[in-house]
Amino acid sequence: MSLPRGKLVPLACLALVCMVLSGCWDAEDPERTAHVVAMGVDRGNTRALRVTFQIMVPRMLAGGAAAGAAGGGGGGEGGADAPRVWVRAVETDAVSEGFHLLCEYLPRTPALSHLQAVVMSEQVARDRGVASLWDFLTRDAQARRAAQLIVTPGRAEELLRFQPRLADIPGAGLVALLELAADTGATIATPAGRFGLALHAEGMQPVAAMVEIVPPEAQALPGGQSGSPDRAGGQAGGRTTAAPGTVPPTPEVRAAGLAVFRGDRMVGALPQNESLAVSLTLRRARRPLIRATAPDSGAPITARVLSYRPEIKLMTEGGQLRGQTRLRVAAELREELTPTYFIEPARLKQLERALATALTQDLASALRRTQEMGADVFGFGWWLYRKRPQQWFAVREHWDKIYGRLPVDVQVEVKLRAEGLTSKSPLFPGTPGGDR
Amino acid sequence: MKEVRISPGQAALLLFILIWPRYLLLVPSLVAEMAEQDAWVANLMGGFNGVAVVLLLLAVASLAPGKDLIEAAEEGLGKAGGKLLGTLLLAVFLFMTYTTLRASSAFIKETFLRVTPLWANMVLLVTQGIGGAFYGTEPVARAGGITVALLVAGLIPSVALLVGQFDPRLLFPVFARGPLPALRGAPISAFPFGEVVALGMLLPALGGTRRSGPLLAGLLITWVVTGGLLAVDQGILGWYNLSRIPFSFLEGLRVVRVPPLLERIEVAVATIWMLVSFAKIALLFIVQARAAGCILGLGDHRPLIPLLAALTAVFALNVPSQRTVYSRVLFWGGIVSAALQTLLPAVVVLGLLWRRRQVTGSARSGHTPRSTGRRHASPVRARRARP
Repeated sequence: MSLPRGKLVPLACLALVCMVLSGCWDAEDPERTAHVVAMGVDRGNTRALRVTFQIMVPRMLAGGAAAGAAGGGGGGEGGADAPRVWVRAVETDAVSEGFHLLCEYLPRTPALSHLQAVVMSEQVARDRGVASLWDFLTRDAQARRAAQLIVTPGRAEELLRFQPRLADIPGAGLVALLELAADTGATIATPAGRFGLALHAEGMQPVAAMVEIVPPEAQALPGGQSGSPDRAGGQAGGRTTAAPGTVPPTPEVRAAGLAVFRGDRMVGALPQNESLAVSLTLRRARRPLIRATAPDSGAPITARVLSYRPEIKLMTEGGQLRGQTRLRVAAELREELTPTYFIEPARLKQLERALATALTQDLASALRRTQEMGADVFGFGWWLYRKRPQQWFAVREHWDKIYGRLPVDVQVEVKLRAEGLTSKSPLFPGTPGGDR
Repeated sequence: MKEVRISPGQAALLLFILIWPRYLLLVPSLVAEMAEQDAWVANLMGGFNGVAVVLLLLAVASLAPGKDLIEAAEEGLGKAGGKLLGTLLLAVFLFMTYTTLRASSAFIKETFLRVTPLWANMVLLVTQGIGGAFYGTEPVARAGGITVALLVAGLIPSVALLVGQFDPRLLFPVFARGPLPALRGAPISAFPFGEVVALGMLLPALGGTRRSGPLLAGLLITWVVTGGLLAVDQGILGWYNLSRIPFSFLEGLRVVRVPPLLERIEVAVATIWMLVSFAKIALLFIVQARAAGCILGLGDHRPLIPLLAALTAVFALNVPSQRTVYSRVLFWGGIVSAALQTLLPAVVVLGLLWRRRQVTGSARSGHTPRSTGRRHASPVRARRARP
């Protein structure tokens, strides 16, 4: 059952020719493509939305900046300071339409295959929700669901026009910052795919990372550090001022907690400390730092989380649902000015209790706040759906209200497993330098 | 026409080629649409259809050695019965070919070649398929072997990337709304498993029941792997997102944040998947042409290959393109096809058994049965009549 060789050769040639048929229509030359790195959505002035696109300038990324500087450019279009990205905003009624309108301003075909971040202003997230954006992202064949979804309290366009330090491409820098911040629990990195998962999950509401531009006068982080380590600005009363001969302070971008959604609409925000509690409960933080104040001395105690195990469940007591959240944390001591020579076991217990109390307060506060919003971001409803589906289907329609009134017991247990390289305090009375 | 034998390994590869392309592309989303939370359970149920069809084909090969399914049907059910069954079988093959052509070309258009018209993709697939079909079963199996090896090689790093995203909690609860959703989804997953019925037209090339071991092993491996992939998909995307996207495995990969070079893995997987689809389309072209050749009593079925290929392509081009309409066509067509995929070989096996019993009875009573299949004497009665 085979053809003679003479007939097979033309057939094989025909088959091979057909394989290049698609090149007639879908040829995409890299030099004719404009890669969008980040998108932003704000409320529009003349139309419903203002969609901003941050587009890579390939010439500048491929060494054009250095070449421009060597050639005596500097500050011109090809100079070392020339922007690596081009930002363009269009007014539109739909996100997808905005992407097509972009073609009016570009000599290249816009492509979303390198999209890394999608920023939405808080105003739009609250008023219009993310449904249209989510629909556009899932329908588009190029956009990756790994693109980070970010909410900003200000304007998304401002964030996309902002050039962060130590990042060639602002969009990529924004994502890198977000992922590092998420590791520490300051926020939760939310790729579009994961957001969509929570959006459609039974008994669970989505959250998204919040990022804001901090003006120079407000660059005081919790803990009293200056806003940016590479800047030698002095700090007085929470305000940063430039010391003589140093670089003047400029605005900075920082992770600013969590945006909480009910359905596709944003209903509130959680600050950084509460974001850490949510992040730990959802198993999303990698190496967060937990803080407390020593009960006797009032000195700060910090510990880095080595591992943790969250657990949430619901119980029925007297026909009423009651939530329970339990968090077991193993941590390494990072800073503690103990008044004893060695850290004694009793003292260690005291520190563990202090850390556990601080974390319990944050967790309880996050719970209370999300209950006020009626947004079950912890997934108590999801637990009920998985474990007792019949009970879930009975309460499903009113879950937001039930969650709002749900009594929840919070248990946090912290174990200090390591003390770092030393177990002695530098300020022990009687030792050199310790009598201060 | 001389029939070229294929090895047991190649037989198992043909089975892979028949199940995988549709499975990776369409089944998870349609099963999730029907079975919702129980999609992965429904998928496991569907695998039984494949086992049933393979066992029935092996029974046919054992009862009518050296004959394909339609020839065996003619032997078991008589000439007219065989032709009727063959026509139904041809309808199932045409449906399988048309849906494969349509789904493959639409996927290429929606995902990679968005400007290229659908007909151009169809021309590409049909030309490749006709070329492969003219080469014959054995070269298709050999080419399929290479593409399946590549597909498996592409899937291993992909699954490794997905493991970090997998959340087993998304697979539960099971049967939260009773077994009905899972039972609704099971026929959808039964359809691609039942596509192994196409091997019924290649039984002479497979070499009879000696191929049973590799075939069953191949089927079990495919069952486990496809079931695992759907469970992984559901554990990453959740059932709702799974039901929204056709090539859900690719969608799962797009959720993973990986370095740019690794992003290309998904393109590699999709490209290799297309190559497996080429092999499947070529195989289906062979099968439908053989079936039509058998029904029409032609000695050489090859002239029918381009004719039937063009017919299915024209039909595939002209069905409504909306996914809602198409998924309904696939759903109801899939249910009917899944039923026929199992029922038709079962009828052939019953016919052959009846025939054999009749022959045995006649031999004992000294009569020779007529070829019309009419019953002359019951073997029981014959035994009783014997002194």
